[in-house]
Amino acid sequence: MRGVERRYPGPPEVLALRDATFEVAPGEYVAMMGPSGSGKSTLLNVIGLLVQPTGGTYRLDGVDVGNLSEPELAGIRAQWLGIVFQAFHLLSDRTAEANVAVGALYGGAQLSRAEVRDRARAALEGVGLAHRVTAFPSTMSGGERQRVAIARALLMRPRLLLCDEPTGNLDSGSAAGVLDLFSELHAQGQTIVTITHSAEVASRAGRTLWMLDGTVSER
Amino acid sequence: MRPDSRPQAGAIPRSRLPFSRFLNEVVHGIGARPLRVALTIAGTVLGTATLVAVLGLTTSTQGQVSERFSFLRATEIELVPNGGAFGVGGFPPDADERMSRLNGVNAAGIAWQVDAVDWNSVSKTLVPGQAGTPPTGISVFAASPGLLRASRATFGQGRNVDPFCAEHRCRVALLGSVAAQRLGIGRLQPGLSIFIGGTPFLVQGIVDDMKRNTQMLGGVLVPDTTAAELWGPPASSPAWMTVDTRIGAAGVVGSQAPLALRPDNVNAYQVNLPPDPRSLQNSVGGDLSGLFLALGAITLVVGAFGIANLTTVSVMERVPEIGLRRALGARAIHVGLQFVGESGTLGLIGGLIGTPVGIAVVLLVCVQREWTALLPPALLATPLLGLSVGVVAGIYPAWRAARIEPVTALQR
Repeated sequence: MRGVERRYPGPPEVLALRDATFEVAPGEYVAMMGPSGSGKSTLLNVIGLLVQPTGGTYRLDGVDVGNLSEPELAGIRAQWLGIVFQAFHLLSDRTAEANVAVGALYGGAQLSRAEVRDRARAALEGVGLAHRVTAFPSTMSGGERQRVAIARALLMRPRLLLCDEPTGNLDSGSAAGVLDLFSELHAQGQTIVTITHSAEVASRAGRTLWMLDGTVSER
Repeated sequence: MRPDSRPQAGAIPRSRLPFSRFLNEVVHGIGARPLRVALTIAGTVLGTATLVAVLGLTTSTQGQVSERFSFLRATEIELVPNGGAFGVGGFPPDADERMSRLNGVNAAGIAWQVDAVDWNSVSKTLVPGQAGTPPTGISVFAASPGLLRASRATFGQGRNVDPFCAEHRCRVALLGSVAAQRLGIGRLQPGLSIFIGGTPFLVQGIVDDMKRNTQMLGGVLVPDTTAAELWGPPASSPAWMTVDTRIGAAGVVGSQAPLALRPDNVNAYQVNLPPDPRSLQNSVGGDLSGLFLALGAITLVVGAFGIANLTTVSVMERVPEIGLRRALGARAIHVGLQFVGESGTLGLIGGLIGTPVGIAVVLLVCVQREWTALLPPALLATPLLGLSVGVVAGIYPAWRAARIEPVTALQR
C-alpha cells in the first residue's frame, strides 16, 4: 500500500487517510493500533475493499485493486478476504453451521451444497465449536458467536483475514480464547491484519503498526 | 500485500450468486417473519381472488346466455295480429304462401286453438262417454299445412294434410302422439276416423314430435280452412303464425313479414324475434363486471403498497445484514435482487392463495344458481400476476437497499 489516501467530501472535508504506506507479507500477523479518530476504521474498510481509496495505490496479492470492476471487487471480497467484525453480525434465524455456510454464498458457486456443508463443519471444528453445529446465535456466548464469525470468515480459505476489534465485545476469558485461536491460525500460515485498541491484542501479533491522524508508522 | 509482485491476469474472482442459492436466501428472508408476511399478503390474496371471481362469474353468466340461446330459438319468429278482424283470425288466406316467398323463410304457417268445441268432444266413437272411451280432454287446433313444417314436425305414421284437402275443406285430421295414446290409437289403419263434436274426421297421420308448438302434440289438428268453415274464425284465443327461417335471417325476415302479409297496414302484427346473442352478451359483460374488475385492480394496488411497505421496513431492519452480505462478497445487485425476490415471492404466494379462493367463489355461486361454471384458462396465470405485482412493489425498496454503503451498514 503506497501513499494511499481517502477523503470524505465535506463540508467539512475530512482526510481520513493521508499517504498511508506499508506492506504486509504473506503469513504475517499484523496489529494496527491508534487512538479513536486516527483513521483505523477507514484503513480497515480500504483494505477490506468496502471503500475505494481516493488516491495512492493498493495492491492485493499483486493486483492493483484501483483498476477493478465492481463484480471483481465483490469477488475478491468473497474469495480472497475474510472479515471479522466487533459486532459478529450473525444471522439470528440460522444455525451456527448455516451462518458459516453464508460465507460461501457469493464466492462459492463452484462448491456443491454438500461441499459447503462439509467445509462449514470443518471450519466450526477448527474454531473449537464442533459440538455447537446446530445451535442458534441466541443460545451462544459472546466468545462462541465470535468463533462462528471467524469460521465464516475462514470458510473460503482467504488470503487475508481482516479483523475489526475482534475482542471488543468479549469478556477477558473469551477474548483470550479468541486470541489463542488467532495465534494458532497464524502458526498454520494464515495472514492476519487486526485493528485494535487493546495492547493485549497487539502484544500477540508479530508486528504492530501505529496510526495517528491518518498516517501509518512502524514503531 | 506485496506491492511489486506481478499482476495475475485472468485470475481475479468474480462474485456470483447461483439461482438455487438465491432462492434459498429468499425463502430464509421470508420464513423468518411468518406473521408479518401473512398480514401483508392478505391484500394480494383479496385482489387476485376478486379478479378471478369476477372473470369466472362473467364467463359463467355469458355461458348461461349462450346455453339459453339455442339454434331453434335463433331461427324462429312468431307473429301475432293486433286485431283479428282481417281475413281468417287476422291473417290473409294465402299467408303461408306469402311468407314462403320471402328470402330466408323455410316454412310458415298459422294456427289457433278451437274453443268452440267442448274439450271432451273428441272421441273414437260417435257417442262420447261410451264404454272404452273415457273423457279425453283433447284440445282441437286449427293449423295451416305450413305450420307443421315450420314446427319441424315428424310423422310417426301417415302424412301431412295435402293441399287439396286444405283447399277443399275436407274433414281430415292429424293426431298428436300424446292425443293418439289417450284415444287408444296405436296404429293408423286405413279409413280410421275420429269424431269431433259429432262430426267424423278421417285421420291422415299421427305426429310423432314437434320442435315448436309442442302443446299441439296433446291435441287434434284440423286444417285451418275446415276449422274456419265448421266453427268460425278464432274467438277468444287469437291465431298466431310460426315462421321457420334460415340461421341468421330471423332479424331481416322479422322486419319484412308484416309488410308481406299486410302491405296496407304495417302495424297489423306484433313480431316476436329471437334475442340477439351479441346484445345479450354485451349487456351481461358490460356494466357490473367492469366495476368489480376495477375493484379487484384497486385491491391489488393496495396489496402492492402493503408489500412495498413491508419490504421497506424489512430493508431498514436488516441494514447490518446488508452490510454483512456486501462484506462477504455480495454485489449491490445481489442485495437488490434479494429484496425483489422476497417481495415477488410474497406476491406469488398471495396469487397462489387468491386464485383458488376466487375459483371457490365462482363455484359456490354457480352451484347455488345451478349454472355451469366456466373458467377461462387465462385464470391459471393470475399467480403470475401476483408475482409481477410483488416484483413491481419491491423495486423501489430494493433499489434503496442496493444503494446502502456497506461501511455505513456495518456501523449499525
